[in-house]
Amino acid sequence: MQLKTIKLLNFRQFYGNQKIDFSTDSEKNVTLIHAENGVGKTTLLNALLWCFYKDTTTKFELPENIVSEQAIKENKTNASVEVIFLDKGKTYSVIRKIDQENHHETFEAFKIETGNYEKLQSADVFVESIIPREMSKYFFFDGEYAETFSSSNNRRAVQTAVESMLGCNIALQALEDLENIRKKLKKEMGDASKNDQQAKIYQKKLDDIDDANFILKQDLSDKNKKLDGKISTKEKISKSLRETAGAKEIQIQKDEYEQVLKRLKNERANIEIEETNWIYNDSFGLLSKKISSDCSEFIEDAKTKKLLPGNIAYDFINKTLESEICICGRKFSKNSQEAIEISKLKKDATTQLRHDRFIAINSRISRLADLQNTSVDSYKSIIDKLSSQDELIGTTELKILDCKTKLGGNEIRDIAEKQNAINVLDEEIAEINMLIGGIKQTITSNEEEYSDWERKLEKRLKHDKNLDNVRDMLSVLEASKEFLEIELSNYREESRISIKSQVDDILKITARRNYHSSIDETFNLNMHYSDTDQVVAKSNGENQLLSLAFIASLVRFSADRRGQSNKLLKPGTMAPLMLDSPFGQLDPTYQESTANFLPNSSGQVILLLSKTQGAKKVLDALNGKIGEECVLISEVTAERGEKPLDIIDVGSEKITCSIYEAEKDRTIIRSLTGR
Amino acid sequence: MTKFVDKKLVDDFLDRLIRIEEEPIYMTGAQETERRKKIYQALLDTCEKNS
Repeated sequence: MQLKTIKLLNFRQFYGNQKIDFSTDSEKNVTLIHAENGVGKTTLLNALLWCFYKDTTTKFELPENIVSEQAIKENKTNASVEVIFLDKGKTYSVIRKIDQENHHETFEAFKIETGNYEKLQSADVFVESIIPREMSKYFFFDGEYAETFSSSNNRRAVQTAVESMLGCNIALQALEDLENIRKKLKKEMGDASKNDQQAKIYQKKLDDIDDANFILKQDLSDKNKKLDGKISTKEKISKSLRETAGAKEIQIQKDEYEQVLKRLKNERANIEIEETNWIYNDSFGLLSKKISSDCSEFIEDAKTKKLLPGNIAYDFINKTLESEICICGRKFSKNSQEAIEISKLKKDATTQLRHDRFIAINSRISRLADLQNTSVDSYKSIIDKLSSQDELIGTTELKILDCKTKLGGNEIRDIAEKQNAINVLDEEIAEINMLIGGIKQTITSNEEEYSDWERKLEKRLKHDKNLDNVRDMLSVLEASKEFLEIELSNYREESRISIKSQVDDILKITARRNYHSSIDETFNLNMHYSDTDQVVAKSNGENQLLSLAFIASLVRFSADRRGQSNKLLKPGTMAPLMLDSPFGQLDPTYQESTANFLPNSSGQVILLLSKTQGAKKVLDALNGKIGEECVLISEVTAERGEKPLDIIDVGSEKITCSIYEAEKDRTIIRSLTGR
Repeated sequence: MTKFVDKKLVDDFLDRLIRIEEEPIYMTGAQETERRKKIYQALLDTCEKNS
């Protein structure tokens, strides 16, 4: 079976008509659905479960409120989910509709041929024949709870999963019924010999044990329910603890970003000083461009005309006049013609001071000319530095805002409180398990005693010809019961070995160290070091990895069992594996290796991922396997305020997942296929 | 098996048993007691047919 399309109408946050096409390509068998928290990942998973079985997961809060809030605001009370799927080469549609106001619901199934919808009888039975309800929860799976499979105290979950996939339920129910009828027949035997006092005593003993075991079994059922409740509460607190612990990490990250921001702002202040220095030292190079160029021209002109720096020094002429001796050695008197001629030279001569000033001015103007070339570049460099620094500051400020948003209501001080609650629950779970063990032991011992009394009664009544018919019935019943028990035991063992082997294959290619798994007779799922065979004390991530490997193996096992049914077992099912947030507890390396094996675990894989789950390594690992891809976008009528934009990177594209001040409150589906 | 029982008889009963167990409860509305009554009757029929 392969999902083709899901069409939603006013289903929870999916207001209006929305649809998703799933990949049915055998090579590119992955459909990737991106969405941030609260946008609709879990709702999509539940839309499928609701449509097929009118069922939802425990995580789906207020399951009775199906119709979208936005639709209700507009006085619309109808919602529906239609799933179109392929099975054995044929196309089918199942559609569940609800009118919340009139409490009216319909569920119909159709075969689609050349566009015509042919209604099928009994949609429930039809769906049950495609994916039996008890198997469905392993195909449409909430990945955030995956680790519960391999956590301690959860053998029943593993056992239930294996038996569901094995299709044992019919045989198990038959065994329970046969045991009940067996006791009824035994009682008939006892009742048939009312005159035999001894037989009556034996029968009384049997009735007493039956009554005691009835009460004990009820107690056992209550204790199991209580145990499930405690385990579920523990899981919820553990999840919240992880989020709080996550908050601690986010807090640390936020502190780090704030330190970075401080450093960046200091660096910016230094660049501003650099800018000020440039204004003092270099800016006049630019500002005096005109004046320096005019000066240069003037000096060059004066130099050409030999006016500058002046050809004869003024002081030298004065000294010559005072000494009354010409540079040629001839003497002359003060008022002589020679003295007058030499004195005329003063007009074009320059003083040492003027000469020095000219050299200084000339050098300054040359420097100004050089500055004109370099100051533009240095100013550009300062501006660039300021701009990239501002960009870094902006990015860091956004990161701090993101941290603040993520921190939300998670108080770090709750960690100890939550850890204490988990410790208390662990003690309570251990205590209930001990009580359950005690009750089971008493039931077993009672049953052994019951068998003894039964044998005694049988021996007592064996010559009573009136009971031959009952005895015949009992013989056939016991032989049938024994046959069922042996068959079931064989199938359980086969499945256990097969699933273990598949889990090991997955661990081989995904786990960081060499591990192998074990599923013992009591369905205790564990992971061992391959070299020492010691049980691994698993981290949350390893728990999730083992659980995902287990789910993937179950799905594969079910597919392998197609057509292998016998009278006792439901046939295996080939169905899509839809995983909501499967990478939650995994580190980037495990995320990548899990993303590598998931596409091979089923013919069709649908992954619902948030930004953190769909990290680059995951997307890279899935590259080439993605046949359909879409993103869920939240539209809200409220203003953005300080809320983050929720931008996700999909390949080279950045997509904003939260749109504020929208016309309606709803989630819309945007297909990314073929973009 | 402690006693010899005709295998055909057991197979016959198992066929009837599985058919009853396969009936979806939500389709027939049968309760547990009703289902067990049917199984009891099937057992009785199997044995009577043989006698």
